[in-house]
Amino acid sequence: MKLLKFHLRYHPPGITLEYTKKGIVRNKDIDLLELDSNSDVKVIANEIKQKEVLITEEVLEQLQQCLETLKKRIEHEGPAGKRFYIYKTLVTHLLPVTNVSFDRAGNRCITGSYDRTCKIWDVDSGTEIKTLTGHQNVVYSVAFNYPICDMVVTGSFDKSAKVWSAASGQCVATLWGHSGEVVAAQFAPKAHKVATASMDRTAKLYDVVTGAELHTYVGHKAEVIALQFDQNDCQSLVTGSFDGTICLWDTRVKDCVAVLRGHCAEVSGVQYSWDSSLLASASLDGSARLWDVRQRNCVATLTTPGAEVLDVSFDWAGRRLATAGSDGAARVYEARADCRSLAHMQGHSEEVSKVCFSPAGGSLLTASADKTARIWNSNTGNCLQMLSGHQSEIFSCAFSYAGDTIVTASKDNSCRIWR
Amino acid sequence: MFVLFGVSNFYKLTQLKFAWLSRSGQINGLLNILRKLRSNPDKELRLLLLGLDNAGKTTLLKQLASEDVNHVTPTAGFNIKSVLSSGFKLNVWDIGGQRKIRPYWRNYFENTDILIYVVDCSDHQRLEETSLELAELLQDDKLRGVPLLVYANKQDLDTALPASEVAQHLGLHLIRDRTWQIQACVAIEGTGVKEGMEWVCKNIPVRK
Repeated sequence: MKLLKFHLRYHPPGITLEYTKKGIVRNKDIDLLELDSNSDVKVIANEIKQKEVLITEEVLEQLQQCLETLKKRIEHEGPAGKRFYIYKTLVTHLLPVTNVSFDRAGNRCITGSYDRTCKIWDVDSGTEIKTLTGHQNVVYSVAFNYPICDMVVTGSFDKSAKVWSAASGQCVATLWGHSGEVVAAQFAPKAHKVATASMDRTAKLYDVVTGAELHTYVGHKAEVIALQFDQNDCQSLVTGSFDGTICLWDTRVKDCVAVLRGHCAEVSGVQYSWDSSLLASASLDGSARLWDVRQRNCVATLTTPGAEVLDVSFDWAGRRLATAGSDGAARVYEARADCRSLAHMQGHSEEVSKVCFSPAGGSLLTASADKTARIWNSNTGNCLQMLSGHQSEIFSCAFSYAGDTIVTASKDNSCRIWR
Repeated sequence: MFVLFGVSNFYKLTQLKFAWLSRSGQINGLLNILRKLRSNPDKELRLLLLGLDNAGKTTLLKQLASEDVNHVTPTAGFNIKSVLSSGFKLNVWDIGGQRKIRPYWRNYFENTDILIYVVDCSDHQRLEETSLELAELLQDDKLRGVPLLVYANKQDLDTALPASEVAQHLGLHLIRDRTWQIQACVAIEGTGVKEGMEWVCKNIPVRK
C-alpha cells in the first residue's frame, strides 16, 4: 500500500486518501465533521495517524497543512460574514418560479416555473444557457445529478418527471407512472436512478438510462411531498408525507423498511444528515423531530408553540439543524439528543418558508413570504443582511458550494443572484 | 334548468360589508400551494377565477378577503386566498389574464369545484374575445360539468352592458352540461359579490 495524494473536501470538511494497493488506485474518505475554527490541527493529525496505516511520519506535516487549509476555509466566512449584493436578475420566466438549485461548482443554476419550463442559467453572465421545454404543466422540482451535474431531473404537475442532458437541453427520458403531481425528484448520487414523490401518495424509483420504473413505494396514506436518498450507499430512501409519517425504503426491494411515527400533522420536510445517521423532519404540528436512523426512534422533539414548522435543514457537517416557522422565525439547534437551542432568528414579518446553512456553516439563509431573504449569523442569531428587491414572496433560495453566491426565486417571476 | 339573474336587488347592497366572512387567509409558500392542491377534504372548495386582463379578478379576490382594493396591479402569475363562507372554506385561485399567459390557465384546472369567470362589461371591443376564451374553457375535459359563475363586472360604469346582454353575448343560454349563473357586480365597491358567492355555496357539486 502506498499513499499517492491527499484530496481535500471543503464542505463538510474531509480528506480523501488516494493510494495504490496491489497496483490498483483506490480512495479512502476520512470525515472531519468536528473540525472548526477552534480545532488543534496537530492533535487531529496525530489522531488520524494512529488510525491510518497510510499516514506515516514523513507525510504527517503534509497532513497538517491540509487540515490547516480546511480550517481556514471554515474561518474565511468570519464572524461578520461576506456581504452580498444583487449581481444579476434573471427575468425571462413568464410565470412564477418554483424551485431553484445550483450545480456543484456554482457556475450554473436551474429554475422551475409555472410557465412549464426549466431554465439552465449561467451564473456569471446571468444569461440563459438552455430552456428545457416539454412538460405540459408546472415544473415544480428541479435537481442536478451531484456531483457530476451533467443531467437535470424535473418533477411536474403534469404527473411526469423528465431527465435532461444539461449540455444539449434534450429530454433523455420521461418518467411516467404517477397519477398525481410529481412534487419531488432526485438522482441517487452514485447510481443511475431517480426517485420521485407524488401527490398520488406514492414514491417511485426509475432507471435513468431506460426510463423504466423499478419500484413503486406504496404505504403512505396521503400525499408524499419530500424525499431524499441516503448520502452513503444510496440504498436507502426517506419520504415524508402529509399523512404525518416518515417512511424509510430500501431501494433494492419495494417494501417499506420502517415507518417513523410521532408527528400529529402533515410532514413538511425531511432531510438526512451528512453521514445519514440522523434524520430531521418538520411538521405542521408545530414541531421538528430528530430521528436516529439505525435505531429508528425519535431522539428529540423541538416544538415551536403556535407555529407550523415549514422547513428543516442540517448544516453540511450534520452537527446543527435549522427550522423555519410560520411565525416568521428561524431557529438553530444542536443535532444531538439534548438538542440545545443555539440561536433564534427573529425579524421576518411573515412566514419563513425555506432555510439553509452556508456550506461552511457560519451563516443561515432564510426565504420568506415578506419578499425578503435574510442572512443570519448562525451562532448568535443576529441578522447580518437583508436581501430585498423581489416584488413578491420568495419561494426558494440556495447557497452555492463555495458559499460566495446566493440565488433566490420568487413568485414575481424572477430569480436574483447575489454575490 | 332554473336560472336566476341576480340583478334585481343589486342596488340595495351598495357598500355592504361582508359579515359572512368570518376570516380571510393569506396563502404563502410553495408548501401551501401543495396543501391547496390536495384533493380537498369535505367543506373545502377550490374556486378558479378566470377572465381577460383588466376584468377585475384580483379586485374581486381582495374584496372577498376584505382587503384594500385600491392598489391592484396586473397579475403576472396568480394569487390565492382562503375565505370562509357559509361553513365552507373557499380556496380562491386568481389567475393572471394577460394574453401571453392565458395558455397557462390549464395549469390550474385540476380539482376545480367552481369556475368563476369575470367579464368587464364596459369593454365592448373585447366582448367577442372574452366569449371565445370562455367557450374554450367550457370545452376542456378537466372542467367538464364544473358549475360556472359569471361576474358581469363594472356595472357602475355608464357604458357597461347589463348582465342579461352579456349573458347573451357569451351564449350562456346554450350551456347544457353544467349549472351556471350570471351575477352583476361592482367588484371595486363589493356590490353583488356576496350574491355570487351565495350561489356558489348553494351549487357545490357532489364529489365523485
